[in-house]
Amino acid sequence: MIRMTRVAKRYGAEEALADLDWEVGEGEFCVVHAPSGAGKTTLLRLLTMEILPTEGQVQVGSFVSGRASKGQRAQLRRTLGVVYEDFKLLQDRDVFENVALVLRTQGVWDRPTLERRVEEALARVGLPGRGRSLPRELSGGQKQRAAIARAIVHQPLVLLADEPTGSLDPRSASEIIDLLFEIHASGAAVVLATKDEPLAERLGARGVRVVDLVEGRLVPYVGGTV
Amino acid sequence: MNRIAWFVNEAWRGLWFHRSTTWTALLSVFGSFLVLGVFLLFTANVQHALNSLGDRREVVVYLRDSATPDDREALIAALDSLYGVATYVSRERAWEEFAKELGGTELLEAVGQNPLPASIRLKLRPEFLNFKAMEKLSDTLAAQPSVEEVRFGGEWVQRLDSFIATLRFVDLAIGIVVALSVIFVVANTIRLAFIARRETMRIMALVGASNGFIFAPLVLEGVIAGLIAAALAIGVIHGAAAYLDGRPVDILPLPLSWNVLFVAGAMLLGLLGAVVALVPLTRKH
Repeated sequence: MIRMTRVAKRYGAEEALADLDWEVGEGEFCVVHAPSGAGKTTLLRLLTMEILPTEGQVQVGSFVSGRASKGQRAQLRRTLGVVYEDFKLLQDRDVFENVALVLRTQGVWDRPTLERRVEEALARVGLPGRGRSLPRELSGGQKQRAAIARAIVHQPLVLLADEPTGSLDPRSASEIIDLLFEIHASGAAVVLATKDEPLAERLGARGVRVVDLVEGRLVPYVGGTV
Repeated sequence: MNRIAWFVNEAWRGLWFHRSTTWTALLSVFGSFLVLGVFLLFTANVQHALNSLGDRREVVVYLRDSATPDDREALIAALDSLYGVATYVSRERAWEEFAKELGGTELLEAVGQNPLPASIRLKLRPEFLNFKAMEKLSDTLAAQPSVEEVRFGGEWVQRLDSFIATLRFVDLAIGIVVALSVIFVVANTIRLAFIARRETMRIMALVGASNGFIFAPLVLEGVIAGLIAAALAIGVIHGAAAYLDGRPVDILPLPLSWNVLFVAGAMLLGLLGAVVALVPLTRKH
């Protein structure tokens, strides 16, 4: 599903990732743990092909960095679901339009279909009937749920979550993690990046593969929960 | 909602949600279009004045006393069909007009008999209203046996031609400078408005939207902004022209066709401005 082969990413003289080999299988749940600034976001941006590796190769499904055109990279993103710490909801439209946007990028324009699929996604994340709410009317936890609804409405094979609980209170964070487990249980591979060590510990304890990103390289989590 | 309706709705949403940026952009573009509109109004009025001046150009063909009515009618028919509107002025009428211009008949009565020849006044069609054509025509007519002399005020026509050419050149030069300034202002204003939308564009790209999907509503925004700004500018120009008309000079309003072209041009400019502003951004998505 995901394969990174001898990947390096440099920003000028600064090396964010170095000689990185990594694989995530179909339907796998994997946590990348690292402190702030260690390269987690760079790793996820490489997976969405928002940026390309300086060296090596990133493969996500049938999309291969270096061979994928801009149009194909956009196509790749349509097969992924991505969740961010700051939610990245569009503030100028309601939750329905935020979630429906993903379907529209995939050519779904039929209103009844859009309404049915968006409502299903919202119900799945615990926000039934909140489609007409604006992002500013939601709590942090609800915003993240809306963002997750947007990430899963098109039933992606891979869900990437970049610090999904970073700006949430413990209770909301716990609910979001449970939600990610539900999505994983339905067959999607989940890659979660976090700096939260207790969270990494807890996920490791639930059987999730946890890796540490140290000096630009992925190594087994020192907590030994692999 | 179908795709096109959604893109139009997106454009409207963008303009409405970013109201402060939209107002700033609209005011700036409106200002540019106002300058362009005032320039066009000036051009329209100058063109009208030049046409009025040009209309005064005419050729006067003096006939020999020996010219028969048949000669005269044949000449008038030929001039009518080839060059413009020919009007016969008999010796008597020429005498009356001359007397009227002098303000009395006393002096003329002293002359005795009417010395004025009969003539044909020729109002030329626009394509002959220039020195070269008039000179050529004059030579041709002068060679006719029934023609005594042809006059068309050669020196005056030459000076008028030169004045019109200079004025048109200056008008065109100013027009190019104004048009380029407007393009520059519009493109940069739209660019600034789009920079304010970077985050929206980025999020759209992150969920897999193609460049076309992201940029189509923004290009539409440029077109809508161009339309609104041009309509406002046209309104202000018409209002100002109507108010200032006759104080102290007569001002003709912009002709309808110019208004339509102005608005269509503004929309096209909005579209081009948006495309120019978006080209650097396409590399980032």
